[in-house]
Amino acid sequence: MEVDLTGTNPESFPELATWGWPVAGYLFLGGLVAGLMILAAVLRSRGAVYQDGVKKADLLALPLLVLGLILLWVDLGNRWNAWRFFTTFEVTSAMSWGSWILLLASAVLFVRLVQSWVDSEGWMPRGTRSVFGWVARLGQRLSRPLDALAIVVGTSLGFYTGILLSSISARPLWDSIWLAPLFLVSGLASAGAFLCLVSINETHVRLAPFSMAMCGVEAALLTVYLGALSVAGTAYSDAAGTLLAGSYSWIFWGVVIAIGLAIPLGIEIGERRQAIGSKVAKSAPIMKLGGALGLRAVILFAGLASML
Amino acid sequence: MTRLAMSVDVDLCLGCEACLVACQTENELPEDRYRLRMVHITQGTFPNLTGEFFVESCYHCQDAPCVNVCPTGATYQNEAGVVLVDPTKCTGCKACVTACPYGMRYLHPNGYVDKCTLCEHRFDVGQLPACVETCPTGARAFGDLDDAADPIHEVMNAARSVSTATSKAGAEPRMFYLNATLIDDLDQEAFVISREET
Amino acid sequence: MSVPSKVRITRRLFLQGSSFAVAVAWFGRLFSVRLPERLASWGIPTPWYQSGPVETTFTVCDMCPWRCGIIVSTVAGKVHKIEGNPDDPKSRGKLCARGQGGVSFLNDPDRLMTPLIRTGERGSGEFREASWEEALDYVAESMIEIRDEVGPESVAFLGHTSGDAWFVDHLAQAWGSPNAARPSSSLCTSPREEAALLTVGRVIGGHEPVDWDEIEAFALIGSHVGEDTRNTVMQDFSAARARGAKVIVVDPRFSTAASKADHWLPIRPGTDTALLLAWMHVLIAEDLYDGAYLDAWASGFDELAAHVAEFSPEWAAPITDLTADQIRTTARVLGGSLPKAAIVPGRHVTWYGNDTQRMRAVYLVNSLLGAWGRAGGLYLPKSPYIEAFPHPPYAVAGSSGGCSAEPGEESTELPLGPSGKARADGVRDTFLRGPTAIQELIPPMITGNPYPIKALIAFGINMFHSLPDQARTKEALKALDLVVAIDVLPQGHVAWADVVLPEATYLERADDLWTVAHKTPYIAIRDAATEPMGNTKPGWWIAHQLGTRLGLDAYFGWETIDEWNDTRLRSIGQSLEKVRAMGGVIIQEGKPYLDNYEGGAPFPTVSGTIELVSETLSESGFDGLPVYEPPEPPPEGFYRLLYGRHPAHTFAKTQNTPMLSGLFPENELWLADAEAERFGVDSGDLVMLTNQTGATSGPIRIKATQGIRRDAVYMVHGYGHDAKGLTRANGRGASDAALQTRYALDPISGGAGLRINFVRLERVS
Repeated sequence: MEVDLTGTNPESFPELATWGWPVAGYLFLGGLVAGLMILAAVLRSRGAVYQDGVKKADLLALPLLVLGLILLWVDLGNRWNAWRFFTTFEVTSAMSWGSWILLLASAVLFVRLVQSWVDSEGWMPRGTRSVFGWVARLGQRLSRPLDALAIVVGTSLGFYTGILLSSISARPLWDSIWLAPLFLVSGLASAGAFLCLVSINETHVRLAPFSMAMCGVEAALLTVYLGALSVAGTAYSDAAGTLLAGSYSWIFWGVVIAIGLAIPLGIEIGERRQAIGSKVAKSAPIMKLGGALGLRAVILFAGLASML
Repeated sequence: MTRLAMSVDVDLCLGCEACLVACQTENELPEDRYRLRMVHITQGTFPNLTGEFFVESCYHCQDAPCVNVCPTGATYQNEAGVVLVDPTKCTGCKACVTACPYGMRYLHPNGYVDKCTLCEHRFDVGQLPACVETCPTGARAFGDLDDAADPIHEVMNAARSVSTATSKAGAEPRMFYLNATLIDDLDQEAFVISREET
Repeated sequence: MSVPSKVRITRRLFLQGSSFAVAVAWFGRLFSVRLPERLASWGIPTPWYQSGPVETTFTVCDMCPWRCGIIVSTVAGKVHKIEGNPDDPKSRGKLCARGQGGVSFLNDPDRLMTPLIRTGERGSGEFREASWEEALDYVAESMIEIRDEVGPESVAFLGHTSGDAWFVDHLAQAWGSPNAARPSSSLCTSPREEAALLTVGRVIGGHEPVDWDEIEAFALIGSHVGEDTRNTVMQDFSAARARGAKVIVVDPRFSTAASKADHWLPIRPGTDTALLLAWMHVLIAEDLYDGAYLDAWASGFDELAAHVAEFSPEWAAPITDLTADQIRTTARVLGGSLPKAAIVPGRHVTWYGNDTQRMRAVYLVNSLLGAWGRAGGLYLPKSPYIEAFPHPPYAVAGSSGGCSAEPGEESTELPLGPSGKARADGVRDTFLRGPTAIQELIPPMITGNPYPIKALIAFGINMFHSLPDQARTKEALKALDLVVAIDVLPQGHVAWADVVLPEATYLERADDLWTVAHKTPYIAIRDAATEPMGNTKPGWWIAHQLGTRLGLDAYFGWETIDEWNDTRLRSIGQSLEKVRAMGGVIIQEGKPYLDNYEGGAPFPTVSGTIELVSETLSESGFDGLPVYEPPEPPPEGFYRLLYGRHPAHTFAKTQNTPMLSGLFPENELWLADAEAERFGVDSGDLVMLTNQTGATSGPIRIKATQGIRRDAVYMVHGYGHDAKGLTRANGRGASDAALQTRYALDPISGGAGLRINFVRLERVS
């Protein structure tokens, strides 16, 4: 068959090129922050050994989220209309849900950030003392409910990054109920890896089993996700095929699986068995974060290229 | 009720591209952006060949995925069934461009998403869409499906076959290709063909 | 905040509170709704149709030589939209891609905006800006110098596109040069017109007189309707098909028309005459001809029947690479529908140098079908009646030709210019008859034979893309004393001018009335829709300015084009005002059928009949009946170079137009899949083309396809521009013209057969 096209636009031809690295970066950061919200909330009452990690999560989650939001904002075609996201709630639109979830998450994280800052540093900028103080006290007094809210909002955030894609059934690679739990679990794994990286050694050691378990769950979910696609029909199995054996396979197997899951798992096992030193072991969380970013990127780009 | 729709008689269409340019000038599109896209398919082996032209534009789907994903309500479907974009509300997030299974939307250089509007500004003053008006072969027709007296029914009833593009992502496209023999090949077109065979 | 124990709602408090509330609400709404909405609309322009009152102008499109009547919509003097004029017999309210793209053509940033005078070597493209005064004075003085030195015949006027008549007809004849020509004769329609004059005593004319409304079977030979997007032809072709008319397409390539045909004959290039002779054979052998019609109107039938007796489908099949069955079947399709059947006469027919004879064969088939002057066949066009603007007798009678030209008088004595010279194109010497053969005017510029041509006024014509043998054209341009280019865009040859005069586009100027010989003869007005951009001027004004400087005031006794047009319209009881108010078109009654010629002569040949056998030809030593002459086959490793049109483009004129360029920015080389495989190329690969004498063009992308024979390649004409000023078109694709280094001169009509060039491919890494 010979096909000639006239009148194509660059967003759609030769490939759908609507979303790029900024969106992949946002999906990664969104998942990471979602994981941090949940982890921090759960670990806050789990014992002193985790509190350094909790504090780091409290302080760093909002800046990471803001970075993600900036990436999203940069991707918009009409940036100065961004306020429109908050003038309505479109119930069929995952992105509309996401806008409000992000607003809520920012609010929750802001309270925790201020409260954590005040608690740990004990001071705040002059002139803001009364407002920030008020917020900090709010965070202290409502800590338990805030954690519950953080778990709900964090879970929603992690899920929504997946639903954002899976609600777009025009892209067969994304049309799966497994994408949302996959992104959530990946976010939790990223958060665990992130905390291992930034907190003191004791926390890191304690979090390692959780982190390894999450990698296992993620691997299982990936298998289910791609397996389900492979039996769903030609467009779906073709899409899954681009990851497993096609043009995106080297990123998938090399970055997402090897660098993101298998090698770090190996390192962590070796570390537990005292076979690998802690300096080398620090590379594992970095790889996992890289792999998580790679997962978002490969699903984004391969998904855009997939057709019904 | 009004339900506006477009039809193209593929047997008559000569692929002259007048509609593409008429739309560009009517709607002041940038020189290198299009609301209409022409697909020329040739099948067979010399000298037993078949060739047809399919001019695609927004199908104003009954259950438009683009309307569903829009976070600001910028994309909506009016009472006549026309899917439109309010550029003042559009943030250019491109969820709709990503969600359209037919690739009929694009990001205008001004920052908002653009696509075929069935020339509703012309409909308001009793004129046909620019593409229909100019079509030298009379292949394009436009009308109200819910109006029994509308001439579009005559056009469609007289056709040997009436097809639409395959409904994808639950969209239920509402643009009709009449007398097309290569319609099944259209579904495989473009998006797939333009990529390298791996 | 503590609440006061007593809060007294006084009236003052109430008033203050409520005004405060109103203020808050007002500001609140301003900042949350109004201001954001205002800001959100900020970057969004108002659509043109809402930006002010829309004015409409009637005029005639000039994006191709077909010239549909159009309505141009402007707001505050800016052109926004062009549509067909519903009252116009060509557009009928519709318009093709090129016509729609006129808005973009008008706004091409590369347009010439000011007169230029050469500063560097001719061809260097180095110019300085000049005023109209200086530029026009320069041209006039140079022309007068040449006239005084060798005579006015030594100035050649070559032109095409609307406005050309001012230069190749009016000015040239007033000035006294018979060396005026349009490319649309000897590079396009001459063989068709001369064959028609010889056979039925009439030209085909600019609007091919096919009676589409009733035709039931028709054949297209090469005519690629749909890629050649003449508006009316597309309308008529489609309407006829929708009515159930049978379509036969004879083309080595699977053209758009072929894809709509009931029968596609993928004929070996150059063998059409064999097919036509075989069709005649079948029509006669199987009694599928209109005997009564031929008895009444034609002469020479017995001789024709005897002539074609041996040209059976079995004879033609191996020659044409078709099957005898195909040939027989398609003859029967045509014959079975007579007289509502015809071979469409085609337009660009200068193919192999024996094209007049091939067109004679076409017309013989049409004669057997009884098509001439019959409903559903070929109607007899009539020119509209309107008088010319009065002027003194011309210094010489011209023969510039053109597809829409009235046929000139074919006189035994050639008209002589003021210094006693006839036209220099070799008519009566290398070819028998017809309008001035444009490509034959180039050698006198170089050799000085039969006498030197020393100046060239080139209006609109693209010298390098329309004329074959670019090297020869460049040599001529070097040798001339004066080269003047009047153009809209900096086409390649404009860099070779001494003086460049920037013309306004058709949308920016009024022009002479457009008259069309037709079933319903008509006259259309051309009004300006907008003001000329930059320092451009209308063609009529340039001609007027030159004319008065050349002492030809008597021929330019009018001040404005409106005066010219109004005077002409008054000769038929009309006026510009009236026509503007009644839809821009005046339609007159035609005489399309034989019935309309009661007692008259519908076929004004020498004998007054349809001359199946042409004694005019045989008396001059040519075949009185067409015979098949095999074309030279492509040498080993070469393909015949075929060319044609693209729906969004007109010749070499529109490749730089922003909107049209975007649709097809560079051409492709159609190559049979089997050949591509053999050569090891795929679609998209770049190749260089080299012709039989080493001329090259490219690189060009391959389009490997099932849709073409293995012995030929095909590309769209008008690409491969070598013109730095055309920012969008320069260097894109390949130029078929650059590869047409030789041509076969048709000894009857002077047409230049261009399909005798062959190319081989070379991969470009």
